[in-house]
Amino acid sequence: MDVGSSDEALLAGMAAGDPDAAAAFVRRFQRPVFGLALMVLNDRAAAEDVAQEAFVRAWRHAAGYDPRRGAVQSWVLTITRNAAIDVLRLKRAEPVDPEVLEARLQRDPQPSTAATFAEREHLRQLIAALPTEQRRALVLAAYFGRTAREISEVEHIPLGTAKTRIRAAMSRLRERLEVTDEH
Amino acid sequence: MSTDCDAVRDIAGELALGIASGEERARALEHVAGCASCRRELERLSAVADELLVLAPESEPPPGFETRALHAMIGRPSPRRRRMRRFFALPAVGLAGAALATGVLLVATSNDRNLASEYRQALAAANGSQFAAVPLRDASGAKRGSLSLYRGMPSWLVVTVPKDAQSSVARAEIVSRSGAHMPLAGFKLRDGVWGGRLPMAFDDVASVQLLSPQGRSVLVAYTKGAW
Repeated sequence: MDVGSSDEALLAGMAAGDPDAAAAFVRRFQRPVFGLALMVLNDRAAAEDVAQEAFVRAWRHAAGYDPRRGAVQSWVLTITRNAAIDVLRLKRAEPVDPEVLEARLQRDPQPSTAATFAEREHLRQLIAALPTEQRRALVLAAYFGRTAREISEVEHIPLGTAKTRIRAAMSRLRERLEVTDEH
Repeated sequence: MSTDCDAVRDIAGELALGIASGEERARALEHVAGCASCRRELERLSAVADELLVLAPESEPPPGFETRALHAMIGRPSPRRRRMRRFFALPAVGLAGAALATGVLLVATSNDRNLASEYRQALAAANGSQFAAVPLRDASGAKRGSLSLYRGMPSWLVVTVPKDAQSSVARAEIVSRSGAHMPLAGFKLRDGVWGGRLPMAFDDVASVQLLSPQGRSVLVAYTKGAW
């Protein structure tokens, strides 16, 4: 399997049981996968376990990937996030404070390409521009998998308010990303 | 937009992030399966949720990670891998019945959040031929929950009933178009929800019956006309 193969080709190779494709897949995605696990868990050993588990799940279920549902990187990062949240809940660990996590989001030491950097920077700016309470709800939901009810408890607010904050944050990001895409 | 559309859009962000409750998801899915406008809205929000994950700063894993991950993936023995298995095998991590198999994000854990995530993946591809949601009805014909079916590799189904109906249901079976009854192995409602693999071909399913401890049919969902 050529290391220059597309992400989809690597997944197809994994689905066919090709170990070379698996090696290339790990090499390509290990930094974002480990980075996400580390950001959620704030523990390198636990993040390594989670990253490994994420790759095992990707290997087992590569055949189920459907490109219509999003990019390969999003697929494997969703698996990673779920595995990280499982560990958070198993350990009954307190999640990192949303403000701390948000600060981590605001830095990207090694962007892959200029285009990627610009896109990520734009999204970061949109998140930073959200009202604080919406931003906190978004971070708790998106990265820590906290439900609206859990957010209402953590933030000491009514359930309806938590749901409103999540909805408002997601809608605002969606609208502004789409406005940008149209220009 | 209908009242149903308004209700779905109120929780579309939570659905996209994979944090909506079981009942909310079931209601929304039933609507979205037949509403292209809400489906598009959910797809857009799902794309935002995906982008959020990509924002996480990349980080170099510890030396040797690649080798250990490969060992775990392709099944060669590795002390670290064995440790991992134990870690993730802990009390089934609150498994909501059997693991949901979407063929997209089949994971060893199927707690509420994972179910939601899998729903979201399924919804993104739902086009009427691959996804169907039909009502579960009691003997009087009243709607008491829903049955969702997804055609994939493998295909899966999700049963959702109101919590007050859960105690009257002990097991479930699928009835094929030829009339054969097949029990759903591992069926156990939790918070009114159960999901698992479809034990027969998607197109062969005629109905799903939820049965009382005495074997009496309590709720039935018919798939005729659903796709």
